[in-house]
Amino acid sequence: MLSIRGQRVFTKAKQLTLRRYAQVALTGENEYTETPNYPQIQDMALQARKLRKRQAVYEKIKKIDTIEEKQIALNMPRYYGWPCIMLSDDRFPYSAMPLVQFYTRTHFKSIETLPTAYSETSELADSIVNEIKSQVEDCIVMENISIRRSDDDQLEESQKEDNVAKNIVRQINRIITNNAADKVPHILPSQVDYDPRHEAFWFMGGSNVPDNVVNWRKQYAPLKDRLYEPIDRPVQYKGTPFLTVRNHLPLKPFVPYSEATNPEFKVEKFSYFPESVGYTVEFRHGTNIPGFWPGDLDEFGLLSFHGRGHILNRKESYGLQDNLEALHCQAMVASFGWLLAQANYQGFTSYNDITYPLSTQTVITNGHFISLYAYQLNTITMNIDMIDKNMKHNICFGTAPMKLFETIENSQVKGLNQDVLKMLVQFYLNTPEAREHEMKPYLGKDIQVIADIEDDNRRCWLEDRYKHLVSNRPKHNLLPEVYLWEKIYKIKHKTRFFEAKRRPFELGVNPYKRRLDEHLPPYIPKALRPYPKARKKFETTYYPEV
Amino acid sequence: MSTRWYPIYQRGNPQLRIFLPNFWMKLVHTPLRQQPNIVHFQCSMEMTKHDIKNYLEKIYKVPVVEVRTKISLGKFRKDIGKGYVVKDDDIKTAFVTLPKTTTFEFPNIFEKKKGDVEDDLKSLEETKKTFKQYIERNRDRSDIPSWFSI
Amino acid sequence: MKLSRVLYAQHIGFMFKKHWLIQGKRVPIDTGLEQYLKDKGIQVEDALDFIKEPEVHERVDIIGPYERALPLDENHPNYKERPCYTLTNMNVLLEGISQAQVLTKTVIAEDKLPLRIEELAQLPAPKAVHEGVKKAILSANVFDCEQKKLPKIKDPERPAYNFTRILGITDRRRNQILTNKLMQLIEKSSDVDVTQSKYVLNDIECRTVFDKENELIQFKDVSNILVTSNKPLKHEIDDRDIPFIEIPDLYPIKHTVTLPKQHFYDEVSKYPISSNMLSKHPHTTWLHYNATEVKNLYEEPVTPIQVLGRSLTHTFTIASSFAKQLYGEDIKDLPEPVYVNCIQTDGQRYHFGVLELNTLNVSGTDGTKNVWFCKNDVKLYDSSRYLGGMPALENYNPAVYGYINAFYNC
Repeated sequence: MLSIRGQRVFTKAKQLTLRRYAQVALTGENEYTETPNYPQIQDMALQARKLRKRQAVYEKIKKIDTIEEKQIALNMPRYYGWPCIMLSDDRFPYSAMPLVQFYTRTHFKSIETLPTAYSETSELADSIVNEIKSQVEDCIVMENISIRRSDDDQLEESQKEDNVAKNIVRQINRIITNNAADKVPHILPSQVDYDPRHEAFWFMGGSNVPDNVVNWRKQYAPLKDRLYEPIDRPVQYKGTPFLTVRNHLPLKPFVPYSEATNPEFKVEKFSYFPESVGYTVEFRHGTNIPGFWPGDLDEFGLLSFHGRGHILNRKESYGLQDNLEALHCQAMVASFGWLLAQANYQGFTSYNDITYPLSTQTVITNGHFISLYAYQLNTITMNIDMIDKNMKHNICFGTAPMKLFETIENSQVKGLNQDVLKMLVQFYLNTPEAREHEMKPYLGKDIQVIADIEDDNRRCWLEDRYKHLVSNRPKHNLLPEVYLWEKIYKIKHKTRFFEAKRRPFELGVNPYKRRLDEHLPPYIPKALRPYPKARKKFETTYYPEV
Repeated sequence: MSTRWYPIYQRGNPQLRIFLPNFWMKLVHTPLRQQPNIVHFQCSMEMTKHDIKNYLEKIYKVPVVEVRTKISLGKFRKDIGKGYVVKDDDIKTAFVTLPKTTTFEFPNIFEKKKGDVEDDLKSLEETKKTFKQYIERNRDRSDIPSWFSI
Repeated sequence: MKLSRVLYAQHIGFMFKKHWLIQGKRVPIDTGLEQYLKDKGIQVEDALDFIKEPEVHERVDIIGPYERALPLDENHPNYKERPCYTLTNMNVLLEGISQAQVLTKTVIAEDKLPLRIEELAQLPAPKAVHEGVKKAILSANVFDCEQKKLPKIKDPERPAYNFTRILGITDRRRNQILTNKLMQLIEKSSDVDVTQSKYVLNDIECRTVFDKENELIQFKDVSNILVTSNKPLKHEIDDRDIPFIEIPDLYPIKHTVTLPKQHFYDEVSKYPISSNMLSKHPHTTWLHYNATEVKNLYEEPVTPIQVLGRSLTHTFTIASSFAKQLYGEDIKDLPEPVYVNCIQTDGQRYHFGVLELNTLNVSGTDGTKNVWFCKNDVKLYDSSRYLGGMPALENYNPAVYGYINAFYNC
């Protein structure tokens, strides 16, 4: 004890001497100015200090060079992962639209025809539609009637519908890309993915403080005035589209970026608990994955196809209108999730807003009904510090479900809807373009992914750690837990006060507040340590400093 | 089938053979921060989601969109006097979602009318006065019960 | 343990150990009761005779939410007395290609593909296409985000050691991505007329049932990509100078070895596309070899010869089921040969083959035979993976794309 005190005194003394030395050094320069030059006065209120602390973290994340390290940095505060609100693209509770709109900060605009940006490809699309019309009809007949696939009775209705839709989507994609590959140059180098893994993670401010947080704060007297201080709620999206098309260039925005702050697009605040709407919370590390690992050059999405089998799983009492809204929700969540993941690969995170808009096109279909959506991502920061200040909103244009064809009679398609087909073709014809501004302002100049890192050890370690983190593999050890008997006999009623206090809740520790790097690094056995004498017992870790 | 006890039937008695299920639902206060179209009920443990939906729809003609239920653990408390820990019964809570156009407000059954407060105050004063009078009257015979009088 | 060490008088561990020792050697005490009863003339029966008899539970019919499936045994209405030897795409033949030859009555032209294919394969492809192929290889092996458990790693030196289970792209997914991307690339770089006359299907099942020497055999196979065309595929083959590998004698092995018998089967062959469609003619079939799924019946590792056998049986399944749909179930010698191309791959190695189906009468070794032209074991690349944290693709072989393209365009 004594020695520690002695050390403390010593360090303080050292700081003092250093400061004095610095002052002495300054006298050499011109210390005096014409007008007094005061340092900025900082607000020393508690809230302001907290804010500055948070902003320092945001700034640190912004300064990290590589995409993967930024993702690790987002997860640094939690060893056991964040309690995330789980959004998916195939389950929507009743009346989810206000929540989805607020959580993705999306203004939804219902449209009949495509936005004006598509008008220039209208003629080309017409000619393509004329060429592929009969092929599309054939493929619909083929997939619906003529092919006998091994049918599995175990499948649910929704799964069956999704399977049919998946096959039709693949055929339509094949037909359109094959035809358009000669006519527009961006189709050939684009990549088509089947069933990719889409995940996105962000922090959401603006919702009510959960009761367990309030109760926890009530235990501590200094927190008495801060019971309802807002907290960030982590949100995780997970989805699997049927098919996506991506390119190395981004799509043009549908509306100018300046429109993003248009008050018309303001979304109503939804501060109720997402649990009360029907969403669940899961402990996991936040992941941002747009269907490929960092390093793939085709990193901008053009088009994604989603199924709508989940509509069949919804209760009848929800009504048709809510089913329609569920489709809109699906489009908004899926588009936002995919674009957010892409934005993360450009070096932006939920703390550092994008500096330019990104856009994508989403199609939801079951092989018969098709609804088309065009989505523009303008902002991704919705955390507690930005939720009220950030004036930007995302925009989603969407149509109601339209019939691709009327019926199939005698192996013939009746009433193929050419307008819908044309819109779909126009989605393919929407050409991505190189942007004039810098695309990755928050990434390093030379080092943008960890594969670029020179140091072998660091690169391999980071690669392993990143893949392990995003796999969300269950931990080997059980998660910390307060057993019910402890809650009854140790916490609620102190009937075992005489026992030694060893459990985390008795020591006043919240084990879930453990940081990602709070673990012992792998041990180096003596035989493996470098010759002759190395004192280093543990391997180096390369966690980003945030 | 009801598990309630009925008196054994004797000839001439009114026939008390009503077979109703043991189903009951109690409307409870929703926390303030809850969507206006969600209503909380506490209900009997045997009721399933379908029962709750039918109960509200068929008997009270309430349009129900969805029912979610939760069984929450009963409170643990110390038995008064004895000192050991006892547990109260578990509670089944039903979260009933109404159509999103409807809003529900918890009715204020014991609403105070205008003038009620004054009446209450007046009667309180009255009681205080009588008690004082009683004390005054019995000042010199403090250890004698009140009923012992002429 | 040192002899001088003092044991604690009470040690719960030792106590338990001793307890087990004692309790493990319990001898029943002879109470003399048996003798006593015998003297009285009462018969004593061994208790074990009663215990051993297994209790037979009678099946109780419960009215449930759905009807229970009947057990698959002799009493099932669909049970057939005659066993059917079944080969699926999850199973391989013991003798590989030679057994496949006997089963399908096929002669082989090794390293010989139809002339037109060889010609088309030599055509150079533009650089952009090769870039696309490289992209496809990388995205299948490196950049795809699937993280599923890969097979256990075993070290033969210490077989009980448990290595960390690695998460990554499964072979099924890898093959799916790679073959589909190659297919898309070829179609995008081909003429519109060619692609319009073709149709591409994924994961489609064919079944063919046939008699061979009075034994019923069925092949059930899944074609991972089936390219069909409007016109039947034709190859002009000059087979005068080709040194065919004749059908071998498998003795002492019987040709149905390692084909499990099944009693539940359909006696009719199945070609998945109905006959009234225009683009029903099978053109090229892609077969994936997923090492984690394809297994020998008796746990031995699958040999390269067995893998080659898969190509032949797979192509035969598709060609014969199509021929049966075309000419009827009982057709023997075909009026016109049916040609089907086949590409089998495990992602890295490619086995190309063309089957000329002349006959469905596969009994014996005489008469008309089917012909299998093949070119095996061409590597598309040597390795593609994360090498020290960096994506790597080693030794890309551009010749393979030529063949795949030729197969599509012939």
